[in-house]
Formats: sequence, structure tokens, C-alpha cells
Amino acid sequence: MSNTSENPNPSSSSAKITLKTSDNELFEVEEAVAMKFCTVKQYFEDEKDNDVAARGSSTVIPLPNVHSAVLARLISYCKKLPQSNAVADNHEEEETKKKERKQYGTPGDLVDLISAANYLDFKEGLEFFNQALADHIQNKSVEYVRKFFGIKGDFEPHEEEKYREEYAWAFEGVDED
Amino acid sequence: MDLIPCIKELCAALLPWCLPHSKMHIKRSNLLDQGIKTTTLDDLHDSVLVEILIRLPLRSVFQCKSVSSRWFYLISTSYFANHVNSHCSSMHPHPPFTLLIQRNCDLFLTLNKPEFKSFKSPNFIATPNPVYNSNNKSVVIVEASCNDLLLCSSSEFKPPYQLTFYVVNPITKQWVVLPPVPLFGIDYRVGFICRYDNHDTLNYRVVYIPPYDAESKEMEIKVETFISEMGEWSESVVLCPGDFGRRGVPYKNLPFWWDNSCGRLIWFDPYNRECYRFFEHPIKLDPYHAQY
Repeated sequence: MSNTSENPNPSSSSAKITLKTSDNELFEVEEAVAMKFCTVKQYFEDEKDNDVAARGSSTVIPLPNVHSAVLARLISYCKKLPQSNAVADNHEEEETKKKERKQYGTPGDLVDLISAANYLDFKEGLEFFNQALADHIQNKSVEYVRKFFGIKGDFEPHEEEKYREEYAWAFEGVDED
Repeated sequence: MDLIPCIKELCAALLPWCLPHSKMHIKRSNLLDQGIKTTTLDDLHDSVLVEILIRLPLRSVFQCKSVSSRWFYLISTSYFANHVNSHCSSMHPHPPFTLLIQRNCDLFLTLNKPEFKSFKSPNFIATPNPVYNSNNKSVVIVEASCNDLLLCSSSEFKPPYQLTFYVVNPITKQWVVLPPVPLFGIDYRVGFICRYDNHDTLNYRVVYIPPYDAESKEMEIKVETFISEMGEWSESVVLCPGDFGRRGVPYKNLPFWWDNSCGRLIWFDPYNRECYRFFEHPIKLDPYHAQY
């Protein structure tokens, strides 16, 4: 894949980096994959500065905010990274992308993935999962969004009613829950 | 009673041991089922939540504003609006646009989607101060546009004679009804400017010039300026600059009018209230071009 061509040092392209998740599981991942996580990259570079010999699998990078099940998904996403996150030119292409985004689990899973991707500073993944979650929310009723994401509506009933009257056009034609 | 936390702890302790054996299974199933779900949408940092919400279509954004006070606050900030704009311009090769078409009493607008959305006259829309009853058909005219807002008007040619201006946001379909103009006449001039102040708050000015006799030079005329922050019309008196066109065109926060009598541009600064004057900018134009 093109991942290796980005590597400044081709001989180390097969180097592995070990990541340790919040539940103490060890993941041995290719350097090219691990470097997509800026947090890991930063940690790795800091380590390298401290001790030149500390390279590759000898270093274990702890990720106390990421669960193994979430990391496994992020890594599998990294390996088949979509070509581009740009909006498709035609309707068909956009539908294909939507389907692709749908495969990454329920909205609840996506929140976990977004939270982890944000912690890892994994920009491409964050963009992808943000869009996947937005796909889930759009055209859904307010009640659905609240229920699904466990958010408590804290408006006074009359406040909410007034808002709905003012923006009645926005509340027309939502999908069935 | 104490059993449940115990079981939870036990599960948590066992989970790392269970996971390596069931990895294939995990990939397909819901993370929630694994009992490891920790994050909810409300746990996400504001900046992360905004990154999700800016990807929603506008209609959904306005719905989401009513989900909770936190969402309402986040969506109402200028930070959010700026992010929507930069996201749109980075994702879409063509910037969003609005096309307005007027047919009879209704305004139609179309966003980037190939569907026309009817944008009915204000008697069908809840306004803070509805001025029409349902059997009174008044035509709404688009007078000017500036920074994505429209200035519309409707006039009443039978008693009570009245000219009403509306400031309209065609995207959010909000209508703000201005108080009736102090001096009504058919042959009026109008200009509209809106801009953001230093605090990113939108304010606007509507310049309304009641009919006057353009022939009598050296005469003083009245200019009514609506100041959005004050919510009222303010009158000033200036020297008659001659005859000029009805609708001002905004440029650099100034409305410009074309002077019919001697082929020049006139601008008037509705924000400079200490110096209410008409400025004349003579421009050299081919007399044949001046017609266009």
C-alpha cells in the first residue's frame, strides 16, 4: 500500500510498535499504522529523543483512554482507509460512501470510536466517524436523538414549544424512529 | 444489594481475559453488548460535538438546537457558524447558494438541492407582530439583499395606507417585521446594509427616503434610518441630492444609488450618525454605458 511510501525510512517499514490499552491488552501494530495516531507518534518521537536505542517493539506505548475493543476497530479502519473524505460528486457515489460508513457500528459504538480517535488525534478517522454519526442523526426526531444518546432535554415545555413554532419548517418530515 | 457492584467488578476483571479469545466476535458485535461502553455523546468535549453537528444538514441542525440547552448553546455560537462555513467550503467544490424566485404572492427559494421550496408570504408564517389577516393578500417584494439577508416590503394601497419592511433570513426562514415607516408614499427610495460588529453580532440599517420633489434642488429632504439595535426608525435631514434610483445596492457597508439626473453615484452612510450626508462620487462613464 501507499502507507510504506510515506515512511521516510523504508527499511523500518515493517517495524512494529506495541500499544497497551486501558484493559492492559497489548497490540502489536505496524509502524505505518501506529503513526497515523498523532498521539502515538508524538509519544514515540519523545521516546526516541530520550533514548535512541528505544525503538520498535521494545517500547510499549500506554493508551489509558482506549479500550482494546475500540482500538481493534480503529486499527482495522486504518488498514482499509477510504481514499478520500471529500463529498462525492454524484448521488450514487455518495450513497456508496454512506453504506461504507454505516458498517462501522451503532451510533453508540461511533461515540466510543470518536472519543478514542479524538484522544489519539487520528484526524482521518475522526472525520470519517464524525460523518458516520452525523448520518445517523440527520432527519431523526429530537426525541429519537435524546433517547438514543441518553440526553436529558432540559428546556421548559413552553420554551420548547415556542422554539418549535418558530422553526416549524425544520421539524417537518422527519424519518420514522 | 451489594451483589450487583460485585458482579460488575468481577466482569471487569474477567473481561481482559475473555477478550483475546473472542476477538473475531467483537469486530461484528455491538460494543455496548460487551459491557465496556463508557462514553456517551454528552461526555464528548464541546469541540468534538461541534465537529459532528456541523456535518448535519441545516434542517437537522435547527432541530438539534432543541435537544438540550447545551446543544442549543453550542449551535448558537458564532464559532459553530464559522465552522459550518469552513466545513462547507472545504467539502463542497461549489459554494452553497440561494436562488429566489417570486411568483404572485409567494417567494420561492432553492438551496443547493434541485427542489424548490415555497417560501410563503408572512401571513402564513408566525411573526412576532403579524400585520395581515388571512384574506388580505399583500404582495411581498424583495427590495435589497446584503450579507445573505433580504429586505422585503409589502404595501397597503387602501386604508390604512401602510408600508412595512421585513428583514428576512431565507435560510432559516425567519421574518423580522419592522415598525411601519413614518411617512408612506409609493415613490420611495430604500437601502439596506447589515454587518457584524466587533462581537460578531449582526446588526442592520434600513434607509428609507420618503417621496420628495426631485426638481426642487437646494431643498432639504428627510431620511428615515431603522437601527436594529434600537428597534426604531430615526429621522435625519439632508440636502436634496437630486433624483436617484429607487433601490440602493450595497457595497462596503454603504448603499449606493444611481443618480438619474446627472449620471453619478450617491452613497449614504447609515452607520455614521453624526455625519448624515449624501456623498457624491462623480465617475467618468461613457454616456451610452450609463444606461446599463
